[in-house]
Amino acid sequence: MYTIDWQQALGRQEARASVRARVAPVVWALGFTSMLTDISSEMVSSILPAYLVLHLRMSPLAFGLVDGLYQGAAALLRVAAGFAGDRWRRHKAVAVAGYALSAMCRLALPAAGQAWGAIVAAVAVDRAGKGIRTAPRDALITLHSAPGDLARSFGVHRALDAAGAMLGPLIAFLVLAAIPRAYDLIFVASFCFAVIGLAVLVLFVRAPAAEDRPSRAERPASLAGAANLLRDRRFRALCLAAGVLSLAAISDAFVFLVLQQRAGFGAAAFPLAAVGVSLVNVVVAVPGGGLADRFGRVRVFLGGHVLLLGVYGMLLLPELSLGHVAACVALLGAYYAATDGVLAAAAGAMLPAHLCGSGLALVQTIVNAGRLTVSLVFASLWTVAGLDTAVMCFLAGLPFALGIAGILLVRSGAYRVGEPFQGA
Amino acid sequence: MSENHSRAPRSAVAAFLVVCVAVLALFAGYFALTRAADPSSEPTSETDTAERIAEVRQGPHLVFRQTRQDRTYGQAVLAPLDGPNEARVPTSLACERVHVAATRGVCLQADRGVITTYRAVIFDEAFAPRHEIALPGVPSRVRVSPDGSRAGITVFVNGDSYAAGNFSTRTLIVDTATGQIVGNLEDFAITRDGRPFKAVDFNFWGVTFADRSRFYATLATGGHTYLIEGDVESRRGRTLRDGIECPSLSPDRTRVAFKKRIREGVRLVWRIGVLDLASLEETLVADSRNVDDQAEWLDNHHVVYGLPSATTPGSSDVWAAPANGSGAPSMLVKDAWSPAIVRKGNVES
Repeated sequence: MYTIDWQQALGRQEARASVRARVAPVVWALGFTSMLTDISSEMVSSILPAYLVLHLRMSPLAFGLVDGLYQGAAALLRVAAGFAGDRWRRHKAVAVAGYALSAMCRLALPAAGQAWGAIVAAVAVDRAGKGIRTAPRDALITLHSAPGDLARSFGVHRALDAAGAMLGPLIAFLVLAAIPRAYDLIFVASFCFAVIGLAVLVLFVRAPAAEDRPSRAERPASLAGAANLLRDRRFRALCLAAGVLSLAAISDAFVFLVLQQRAGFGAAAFPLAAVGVSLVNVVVAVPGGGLADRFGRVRVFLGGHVLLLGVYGMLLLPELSLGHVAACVALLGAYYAATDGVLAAAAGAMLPAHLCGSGLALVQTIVNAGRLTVSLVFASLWTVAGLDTAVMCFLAGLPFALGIAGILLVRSGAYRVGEPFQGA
Repeated sequence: MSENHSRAPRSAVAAFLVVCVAVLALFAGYFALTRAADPSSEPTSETDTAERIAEVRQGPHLVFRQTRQDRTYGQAVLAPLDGPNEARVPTSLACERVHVAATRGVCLQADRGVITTYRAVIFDEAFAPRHEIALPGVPSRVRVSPDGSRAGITVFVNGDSYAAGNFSTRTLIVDTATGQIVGNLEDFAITRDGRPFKAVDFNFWGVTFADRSRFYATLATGGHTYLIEGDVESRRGRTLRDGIECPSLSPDRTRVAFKKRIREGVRLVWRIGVLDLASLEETLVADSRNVDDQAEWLDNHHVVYGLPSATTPGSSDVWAAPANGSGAPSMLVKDAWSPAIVRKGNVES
């Protein structure tokens, strides 16, 4: 219904319509799929260290060894899956495959018992599933949303996603509190959530029919076409800007670590800080998306990174109170809400429909590669030059990155894409 | 879209309900099946436990973590060395790892919650708690000095990691009389070949005491795992040899049993080895399985170590093997973990 609506009218009066009416049912369905899947995966990952180390007596050192390999493999899969969705025009089918693969791993993990290789394989396949489903899912959100409400749609999706990430560990805790050592129950319950999530996807997410997008029939997605995406000035600028900015963002794990050292809150409060960030993300993602639709996604995306300056500034304070910690958590949550879904919306708005999956996969992969790099860089800086110097480098680097990103986005005209009445 | 339906078709809703009911039935069925078949817990009369503890303590005995799948799972238990599978005396302490020597013991506990916290409980001869120490991470190793006065505790601290899945360790020395932390190995002055040795990636684990002050441990840095010899009083240590992890000093103090890291294809496995401290000669014990444990000595000729049970997830067994690499491993205690061997002779020497 929205395809017709947005093509006809995207008047400002519609801006006042409620979120519920303006976000396509398919996007809600995808949001609930993500929420249920995140509950499923987070309830397992929150107990995995205890399960492996305390229950199965495995060494975390052995386990961590191959961890880095998966991240690279997952990135390759993400791009491949994004392209496969475009190529076969089957975003939904590819997404279903990704979700189903991860669901299967929920049962594979306990079935693996103590077999080290099987556990590693189960975790690897789970990550592969995550890599496969991300880009086709975001392509579905893009293809099912009115261009004028794209950031809001992504906001709804990311809010539900973050809610799942908060609920998962909580459910796992409640199960273990009721029945100690019931790791098997956690795995079975996790499988159940994953199956329900998959059912929502299969039953309530309509695949965008090929006839919905006449242009797609004329231009089948090809590898050359996908590579040509980077020839587009605006999209290339967005990719570069997102990459540069991701290199200036200290991962939240490190921010918590600095807070822990500065404010002296215990390691036990680590998960609490993460929950706080998710909570703020849940609350801010939808209005943040609305703001982005109204004033421009690129502006909000850049603005989100300005919030990080506040976080870095606080990390350099000699004394940190609980209030500072709370403010950092709030800023981090708002940063995610203003950048994650908004970037996808900015990219989605400038991508041709037939290459939507490939393009979104590309942006996500660039950002993830940047995050991985920045973790290594920050860790090395911390080791070599000390914590203050490391944070100071990033505090100085972020405005620089913002400047570069700003120039790239303005000169290419990318910042104007997706503004009201300019929908692609 | 071509068709106008903001609502999902009825058939989809019906199918979704069917899936939900099926999933719920699966969960309920699994729950009923596994929980009904729970092995009935063995009754323990708690009134005479103190007497039974005292009785077992009179002879050579073991203290270990019970991993039998019953009500006593996870508890520290005592058992006589000549029949550890028959007469087990459960204590009221639930431990992830436990070790005892002389009149003191240390039990590393996990307090599971939304935020799981960890602590060390120092207990006395009657297994009554004396002190508690909050721990900064997941319990890994604990050893009490032969005179019972000090303990070395290693925990995994995942907060120090660069990427998820990368752990670092922290090793603390505690005074069992006061319950105070008297040292963190990261603060000790370490030398290598007589020169000061310091790096930010230092990780220490697996303390084993020679007496109340002298100890051995592992120092990992830059891809090496050094056996170090240290001294709590002077807060110093020196590296002895590379490639040695989780040392455990023999009762006669001439050898250390340790974990040797071996690469088998893409995976790393650990084998138990024995290092002669005088000749620096290494011998692997005759057990080709992957052992991730700090070994303990049954006597001067046998090492013991835990291995996950081949049949029951969450259970583990304690195995013994000749220290000179001969013979074959044999199961010493079924459903046990983290064994401490107490022989009067060892303790007082």
